[in-house]
Amino acid sequence: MKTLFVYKYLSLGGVESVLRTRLRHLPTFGIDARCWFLQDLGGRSVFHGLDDLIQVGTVGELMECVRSEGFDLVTSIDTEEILPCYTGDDLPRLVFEAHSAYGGTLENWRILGRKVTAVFVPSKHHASVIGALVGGQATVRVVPNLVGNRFLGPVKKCEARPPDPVLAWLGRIDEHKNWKLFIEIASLLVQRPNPPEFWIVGGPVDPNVVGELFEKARRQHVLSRLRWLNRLSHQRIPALLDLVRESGGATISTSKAESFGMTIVEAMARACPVIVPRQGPFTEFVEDRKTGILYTPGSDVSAADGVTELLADPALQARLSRAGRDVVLERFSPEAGTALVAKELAALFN
Amino acid sequence: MKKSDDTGEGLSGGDEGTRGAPESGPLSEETLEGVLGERDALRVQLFQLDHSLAIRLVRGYWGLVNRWLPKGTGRRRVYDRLRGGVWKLGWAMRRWGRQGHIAACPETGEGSREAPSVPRSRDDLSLGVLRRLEQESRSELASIILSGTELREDEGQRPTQIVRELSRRHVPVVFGYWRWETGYWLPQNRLSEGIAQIPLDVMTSHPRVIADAFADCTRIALFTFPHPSFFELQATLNAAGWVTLYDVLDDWEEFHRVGQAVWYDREFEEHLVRSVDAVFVVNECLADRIKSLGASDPMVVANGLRPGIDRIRSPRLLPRGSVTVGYFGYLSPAWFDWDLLRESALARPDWIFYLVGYGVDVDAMGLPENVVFLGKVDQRELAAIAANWDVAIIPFKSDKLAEGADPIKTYEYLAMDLPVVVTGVNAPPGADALVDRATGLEDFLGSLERAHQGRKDFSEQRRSYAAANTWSDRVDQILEVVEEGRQRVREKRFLSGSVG
Repeated sequence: MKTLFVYKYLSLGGVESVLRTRLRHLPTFGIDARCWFLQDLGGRSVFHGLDDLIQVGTVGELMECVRSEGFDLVTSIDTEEILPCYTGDDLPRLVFEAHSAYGGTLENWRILGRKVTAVFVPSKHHASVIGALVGGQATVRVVPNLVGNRFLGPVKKCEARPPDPVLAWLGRIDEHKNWKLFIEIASLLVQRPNPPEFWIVGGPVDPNVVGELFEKARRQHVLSRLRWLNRLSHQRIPALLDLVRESGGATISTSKAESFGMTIVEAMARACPVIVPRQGPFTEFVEDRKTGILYTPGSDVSAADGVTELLADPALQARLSRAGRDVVLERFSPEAGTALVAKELAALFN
Repeated sequence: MKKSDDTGEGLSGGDEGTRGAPESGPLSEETLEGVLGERDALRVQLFQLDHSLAIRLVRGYWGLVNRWLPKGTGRRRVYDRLRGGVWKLGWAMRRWGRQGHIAACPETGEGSREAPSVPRSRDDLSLGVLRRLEQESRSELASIILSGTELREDEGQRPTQIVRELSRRHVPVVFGYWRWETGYWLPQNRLSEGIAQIPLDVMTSHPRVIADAFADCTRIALFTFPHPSFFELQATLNAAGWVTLYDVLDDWEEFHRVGQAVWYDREFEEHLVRSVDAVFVVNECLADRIKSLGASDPMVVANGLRPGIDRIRSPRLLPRGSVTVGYFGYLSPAWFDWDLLRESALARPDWIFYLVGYGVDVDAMGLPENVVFLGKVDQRELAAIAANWDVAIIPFKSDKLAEGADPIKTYEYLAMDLPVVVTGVNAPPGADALVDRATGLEDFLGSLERAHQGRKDFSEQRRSYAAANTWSDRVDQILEVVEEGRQRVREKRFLSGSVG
């Protein structure tokens, strides 16, 4: 069975990370998988060693490829750009994977629902969101994301250790990921004893955000304790999370909505304690004070309290580290996850 | 105050010396080298100008005009009138547009806080040089130096000295220099030495291009002043695995307080201090200050000596006093203690005080006749002049600005075997016995007298101290921190995958 996964951006995001894991593991289930990207935003490093299996090109070139290469199934990941061209009996069945939490118009979802065989979503939370949008016109299946092996290697002490605990925030620096809330949380923490260092790991799509970030961090007296790693290669994220863990710190999400919460799952895989808003999909794998800390969504005070409590309690940190990693190994390992993806794809093919 | 004609010429150049001056007779090797360097630079500029698209278009345009509108015809006269009007309009618009492009100079702080925007095509050209440097380098180490000054051999600033030393070791250097206007470009006349010169605003506008360079090397980026426009570039270099370093040369906050360095932002300096992998400072005073900004363990890497500065090329005899005192360097009104000098000269009329340098209108200082101003002097001539002195001085005001300084001239005085008396500044590390620090007029005069009487004492120690504190030693110190993973370099190496 030959499957082509299509995604609009080749960047350093979570989707690329999922695709990499699929490219590596689906062949063991008899599925020949390839990826197609519409735009190269500097994410080739994610596919280091798998370069032959990825391609970047326009929608027109993609459609030519789909027709000529004999794919059995095309899976579009949040890439509605291909839908207008996806007409004709000679085309393979189409699956739409809704990973993006960035929205889209209701009308587009209705049209999409008529064109696709199935919609895959990575969490129950996202299934309810998408199910409501497609209005029952297509089957919605939960297919969780997979965590790459480089996040699942043994957790060891590393010699390098930041001097102060680190509170890390990973993601695209935009409104949706709500970087401003992170700065507000940080501004509360700098007023408390023993504040952590604040690491922002990611880059903005809109270049104007750089100035906004600088000014907001400066105005809220966070700039002095801020370390910004602009566009860190995805390959280096496990090492980064190891440093955060070894510092006695944590990873936090302030995202307004997530389909899965990949950066948080990856942090848990590296035994790095996590602090997340009490909302889906996080509540599907983070149990408060058992596998992470939950805070009231949108509340800087609640989040800052959670951070303060965690950083002051090494025993709690150790407990959350272990339990968080166990959850990921059990539910999101490549073996478990790929088997499920393969099963769902095979079911559609058959 | 007397202006001396003993030196014969009013030379042009910088603080610690200047370019070769016109001389009669055969040129010395160094002068010849300097003149040839200037000629080469001008030749490169001329070549770039001659081959620019604009010149080629203008040439083609005038060919067509002369062909279709021959001189002396009525058509040509109408054309000339129209062109004159358009030219005036264009000139007025250009002047208006330029007002928005003046940027703040890190040294003086003049102009606006914004870095200038840049035309893309010249950026590409400049960044193309970076790629060429990358291709030609065989070194396992690559470097970026972000400097508030230009790369000028005749001024001998610390960034220039570090660049020279790295270049001598065949380490490619991308030298980011400050410019006031976007149209100002330095010629790439040092590529053969492995040095590319790129305006800082071009570097900060293209952080990813810069960060992706020399990917297979150990890479160091040295920030020599805390300009807020470095925010994104530094973050990008950090993520790309560059070992980022902050070399604290001065107390920038004090410069800001006295009306210079208007761009200074304490929050950003705190950010820089904490987000680089290692911090260096020129003396202990700055170390304390930088610790207060959040650096846990800054390392003192003092200034140094460029060997050869003490060489007398042709002796020059100057009138001597019963005690002959001298100073060379920048005569900044911000830190030079003019009152102390004036009162000292009045109190000891049989002494002579020589001043070599620039920076103020010395005539306006109301100095007595026994203060002799020699103006700017070529750095290579300093040793010949200083050979007439009994004591060298650094009379700076006692304030934070001076406390944070480690004057390069101290090392140069010691290399020239001169006893040194200072006010305001401290002796370099390990030179307390060789540098007398005075406070107030009486103490200063007493120190000068003692230094004069003991002129020959510590001669050996002075020279050996200077010899052991060269710029080469300083670069060794910096590179050792990188190699041994001290401060936060180990973290960076772990993050970039070069250490487990």
